[in-house]
Amino acid sequence: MSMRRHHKIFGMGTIFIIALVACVSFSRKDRLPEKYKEIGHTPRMHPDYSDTVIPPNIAPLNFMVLEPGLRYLVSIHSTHGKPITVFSKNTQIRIPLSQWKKMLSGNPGQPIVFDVYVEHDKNEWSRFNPISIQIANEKIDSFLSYRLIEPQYKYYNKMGLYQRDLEDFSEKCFLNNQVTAGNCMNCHTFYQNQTDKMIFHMRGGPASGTMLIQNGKVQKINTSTDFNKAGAYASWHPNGQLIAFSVNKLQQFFHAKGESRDVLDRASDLIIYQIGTNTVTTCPMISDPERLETFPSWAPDGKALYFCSAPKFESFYKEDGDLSYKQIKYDLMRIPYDAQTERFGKLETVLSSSQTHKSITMPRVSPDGKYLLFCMASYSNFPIYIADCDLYVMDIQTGKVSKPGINSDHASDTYHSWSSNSRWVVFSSKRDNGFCARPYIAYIDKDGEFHKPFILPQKDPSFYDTYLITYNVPELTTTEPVHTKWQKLTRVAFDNKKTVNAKLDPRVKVDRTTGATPEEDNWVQKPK
Amino acid sequence: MNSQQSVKQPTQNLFKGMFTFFFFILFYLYVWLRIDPGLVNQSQDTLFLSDSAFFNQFMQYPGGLADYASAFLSQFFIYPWLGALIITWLAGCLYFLTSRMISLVSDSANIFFISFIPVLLILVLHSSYEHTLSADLGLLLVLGFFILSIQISSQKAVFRFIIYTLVAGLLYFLTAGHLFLFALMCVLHEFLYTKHPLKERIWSLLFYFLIPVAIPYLSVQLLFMITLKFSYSYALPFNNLYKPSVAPYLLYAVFPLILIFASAHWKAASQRLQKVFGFLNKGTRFLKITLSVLVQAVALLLIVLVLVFISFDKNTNTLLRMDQFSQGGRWEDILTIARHSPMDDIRMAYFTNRALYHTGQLSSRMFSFPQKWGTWGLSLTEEYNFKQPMFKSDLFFELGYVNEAQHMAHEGLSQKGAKPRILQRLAITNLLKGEKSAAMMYLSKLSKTLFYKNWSKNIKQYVDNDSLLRKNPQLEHIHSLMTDFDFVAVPKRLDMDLKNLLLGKKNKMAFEYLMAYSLLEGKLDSFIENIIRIRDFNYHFLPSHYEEALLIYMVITGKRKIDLPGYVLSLATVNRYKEFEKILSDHKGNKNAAQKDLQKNHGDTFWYYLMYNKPKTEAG
Repeated sequence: MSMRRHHKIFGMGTIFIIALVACVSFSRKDRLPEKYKEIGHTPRMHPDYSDTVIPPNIAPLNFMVLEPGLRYLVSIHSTHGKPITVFSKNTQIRIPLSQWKKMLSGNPGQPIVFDVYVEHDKNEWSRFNPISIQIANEKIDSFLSYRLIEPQYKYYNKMGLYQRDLEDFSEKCFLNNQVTAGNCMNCHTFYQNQTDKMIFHMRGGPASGTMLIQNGKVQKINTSTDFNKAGAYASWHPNGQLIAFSVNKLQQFFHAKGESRDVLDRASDLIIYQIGTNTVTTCPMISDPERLETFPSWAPDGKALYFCSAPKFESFYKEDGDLSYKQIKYDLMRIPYDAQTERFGKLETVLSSSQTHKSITMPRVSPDGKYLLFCMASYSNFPIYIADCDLYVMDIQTGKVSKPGINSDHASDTYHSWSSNSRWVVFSSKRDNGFCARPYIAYIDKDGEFHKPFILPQKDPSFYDTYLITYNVPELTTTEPVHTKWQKLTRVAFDNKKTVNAKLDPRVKVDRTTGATPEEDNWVQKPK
Repeated sequence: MNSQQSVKQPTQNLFKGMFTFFFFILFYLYVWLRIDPGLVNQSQDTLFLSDSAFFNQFMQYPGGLADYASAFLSQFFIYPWLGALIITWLAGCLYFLTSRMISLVSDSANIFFISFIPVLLILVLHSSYEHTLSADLGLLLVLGFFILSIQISSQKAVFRFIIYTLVAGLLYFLTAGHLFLFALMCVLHEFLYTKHPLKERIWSLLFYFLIPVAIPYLSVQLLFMITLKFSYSYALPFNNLYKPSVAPYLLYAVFPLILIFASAHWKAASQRLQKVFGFLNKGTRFLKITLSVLVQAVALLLIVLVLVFISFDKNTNTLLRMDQFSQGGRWEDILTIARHSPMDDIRMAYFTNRALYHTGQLSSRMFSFPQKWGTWGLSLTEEYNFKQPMFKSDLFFELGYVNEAQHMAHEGLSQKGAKPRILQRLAITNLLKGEKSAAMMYLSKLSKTLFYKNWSKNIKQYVDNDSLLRKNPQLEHIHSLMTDFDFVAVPKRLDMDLKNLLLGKKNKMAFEYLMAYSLLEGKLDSFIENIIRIRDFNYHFLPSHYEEALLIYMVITGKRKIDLPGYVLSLATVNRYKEFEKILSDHKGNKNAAQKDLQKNHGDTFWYYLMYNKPKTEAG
C-alpha cells in the first residue's frame, strides 16, 4: 500500500473519531428540550436547597428530583457565565465540580436558577417552575470539623474526628479512636477558627487527657487537679493563652416514651486554664457550690465570659425523693474579666430561665461581637436530646432576643458554630429523621437576618437517607485543614511520662465536697 | 509377581478419588446438619449492602477486601444448605491448592492424606460460630500466590524480587496478616528447594523478611489510620475462641511444616521410615490398594471423628438454636431443649422463661427448670447490655417496652455494627413510635440487601399507612402495650419498670414477669402487693406457683384466708404443702438432710426454690 493511501486512511480515521466525539459531546441529551410542557410549580427536591443563600465557595448542591420520570435534565444558570446542564437517567442530579466552582466564583451576590426538566414519556418533556438560590458575597470558612459517632446510649465503640472540605466533598479523618485504645474523643475546639491552635479531649484508657496543639507542637495536658476533674466544654480566650473549661459530672438516664436518652449534670463548675503557667484557676462566681455552671464562652474581645448556670442538682429533688428533672433550667450569665489583672468582675444575669421558662444553654458570640446565639429547651443542659430545643439570637447591643426562622418545629436544633466572618452559622439539627444530627448551614446577613438553612451537601444526594452515624460538634475552621499527623497525636497521647499536669492556683481553696471557697478579696475586681 | 505390581495405580487413584469425593460429601453434610450455617448466620448476622459506601469502608484498612468478600459470601448462610456448600467449596479449594503445592515440592504420591489436614483444621475453625470466611479466603490467597512463586522460582533474582514485592503488597492489602505466612513459605522454599547461589539466597533472605516487616509499617505511616498491632496481625484468626484453642495455630503451621518435611533434607529420614514401614506398600486383596493408603484413609477418618467430637461447640450451638427458635416463635422447641440439654448458663434460663410465658406456663412450671440466677434469669444481667443486647431487646419488645427495646438495639448497633436483626428492630420500634423518618432510614438501608429487601418493602407500606399498621396483629399487639406516659427506666430493677408498664395497660406479660420477679426474689410482700392485678387477666384459676406463694405467705403471717375474690387455693396444692412439711419434719427440720427427699417430690415448687435455690445476692 502506498504512503499516500496510508495517510488518507489515517486522516479519515481521525476525522471520523473527531466527528464521533463531537456527536457525543453535542448529543441530544445535553441539549435542553425544545418542546416541553410547563408544570406550574417547583419540583420536589431532596435535599431541599430552594430559596437558600449559599456561600460562593460551597461544594455542588447535588440533589434528587422527587418527581416521577424517565429522564431528568437540569439547567443551572446565573447572571454571568455559561449555564451548566446536567443530564441524568435517574433522579440524582450530580453537578460537575469545576463548572460549579466557576459559576459560583463568577457570580457572588447573584441568584442562581435551576430549571428542572423531566421526561415522562419518550420525547415528552415537562419543565417545572425554576428553583432559585442566592449566592452570598461572603465566603464560608473552608473546613468543617466534627465527630462522627453512632447515636450513643451507654456504650460507645467507634468514633473519630473528621474534617470536611466545604469546597468539595473530600472528608478526612484526623483521628479515630481505633488508634487510641477505643477511648472517647470530643470537644474539639479551635482558637478563632484556626486549626494550628486547637484542643480536644480524650477520655478513658491510657491515652486520656486534653490534647493541645499549637503551631505544630502537641502536648497532652491533664487539667484535673485537687479541685476539679478534667475539663470538658472549652472556649479559647482571644488572647490565645487562656482556655475556659467546664468540669461536669454527668448522669445519664433513659425515658420510656419519646426520645429515650437524657443527660443531666449532677455537678459542674468552670475553671480557667492558663497555658503559659500551666495553672488551673477559678473563682466562687463561676464555681459556686450552690450552682451548676457550664458552657463557658468568651466574648470576642475577651472582656467577658458568658456561661450558663442553674441551682445545684440536689435542689431539684422532691419531698418524695423523685427528681424534678424537668424543672432544671439554666440561666444565661455574664461575668466581666480583665486578662491583664486576671480578675473577674461582677456576675450578672443576661437572660433568666424564669423569664423565658426555658433552659438556656450553649451561648456563643459572633466573632464581630454583635450577636449571641444560644439554645433554649424546655429543660436540661443537654439540648441535643430535647426535641423542642431551638436556636435563639440576642442582639448584644440592644439585648433583644428573637427566634430565627432556621429552626425546625419538631426536632432539636442545637450545637452551633460561627464562621470567622460572622456571616455563617453551622448547627446540628435532627430535623431529617428526629434521631441523627446533621450539619446545617445558615447565612446571616448584615442586618442580622437569618436565612433558610441548608444541609451540608454530599456527593451522593441520597447519602443521608441511609447514613446511621450522627454528626457531633460541627466547628468551622478557616483556610487550612488540621495538619498535625495522627501518628504524632497518638505518640503524645500514649506518652504519659510527658503529660503536663496542671497546677492548681494556690489561691483556690480546695474543698472537694463543696467546690472552691476562695477569699473574696482575691477575686472580685474592686469597683473603680 | 511383586505385591506392589499387583496394585494398579489407576485402581489406587480411583480409590483416592472416591475417598476424596465421599470425604467432602460427609464434610458438607456435617457442616450443614451439625454445625448449621443458619446458626452461624444467627450468631454473626452479616450485613452486605450493594452500595459503594459499604464497599468503601472496607478499603480503610488492610484485609478489608477479604472481609468484604467474606460478608458477601456469608449472607448466603441464611440458607444453611447454601452456606454449607460455600464452606465445603472453600475447603475443597484448600484441599486442591494444598495438593498442588505438595505435588510441586514432593514426588511422594503415597502420602495423599496430608492434603486433608488443613481441611480438617478448617472444619475445626468453622465449628466456632465466631469464625468468619476472611481467614479461609486469606489462606487460599496465600497458597495461590505461593504456588505462583514456585512457578517463577527459576527466574532471575531481580524479576523474582519484583514479583515478590508486588505480590506481598497485594496480599497484604487483601488479607493483612496472612502476608507473614506467605513470606515464611517463600523463605522455606528458597532454602529447601532451590539451588540458587549463596549470595542470592542471602539477598532472598533479607528481602523475604524485610518486605513483610516493612509493608505493614509503611502502611501505618502512609496509608491507613490503624495501630501497628492491627497492621501486623489483622485477619489472622488468633483472637477467636476455638476448641481446641491451638487449632488456628496448627492450621497456619501445617504449610511450613509440609515444606520442611517434604524437602530433600528429610528424604533420608523418610527413606529410613519407608524401610521400617515397607510392609505398608504391600497391596491388599480387598480394594486392591496399598496398605499404606488404606491405613491413611482409616487414620484420617479416625482423626475426623476425634476432631468433630472435640471441636463441636455444643453449648453455643444450643444457645443459638434457642435464639433462633425464639425469633421464630417456636417456644415448645425451646422447652424441649431446656428439658433434654440443660446447661449451666443464664441465657438458657432467660430463653426458657420466655418460652414458659409464651406457652402459658411461666406461673405454673417456672421452678421445673433451673432458676439459680434468680431475677437475672428473667432479663439477663447488665453485662448482656453490651455482650448480647438483642436478647434484651427481644424481651423488652415483647413486653411492649418499646423505648428500651430500641435502646438495646442501639447498644447493639454501637457494639456490633449494623446487622440486619438490629436494623429490623430499629425500623419497627421507630415505626411503632410514629418516628417514620427514622424508620425509613433503617428500611432504606435494608432495602440494599439481598435477603431483607422484601421485608423492608413490606414494612415500608406501613410507614405511609397507619391503618394498615393496625391490621398487623403482632405490631398492633405491641403498640397496644406501649406506655401512654413517660417514666424513667430503672436499669437494675426490672420490677419497677414492669409496674410502670402495667399502669393503665392490661399487659399480661408484664404482670407474669412481675410475679415471677417477686417469686424469684423471694419477696412475698411484693408478690402479695401485686397479685391483686390477676383480676385484670382471664385466669380461670390460680396458677400453681401463685398458690404456693400464697400458701407460704399464709403460713408465715398466720392468715387463714387469702384476700383474692374469685379465687381459692386448690386442695391439691394444700395437700402438697402438707407433704412438703411432713418430709421436713421427718428430718426433724434439718434442711440439708431433707433436701434429697424434698427435691424428689417437690423440686419443682416455689417452696423448694425458696428454701434451697434462691440466690443469695440481691437482684441488681
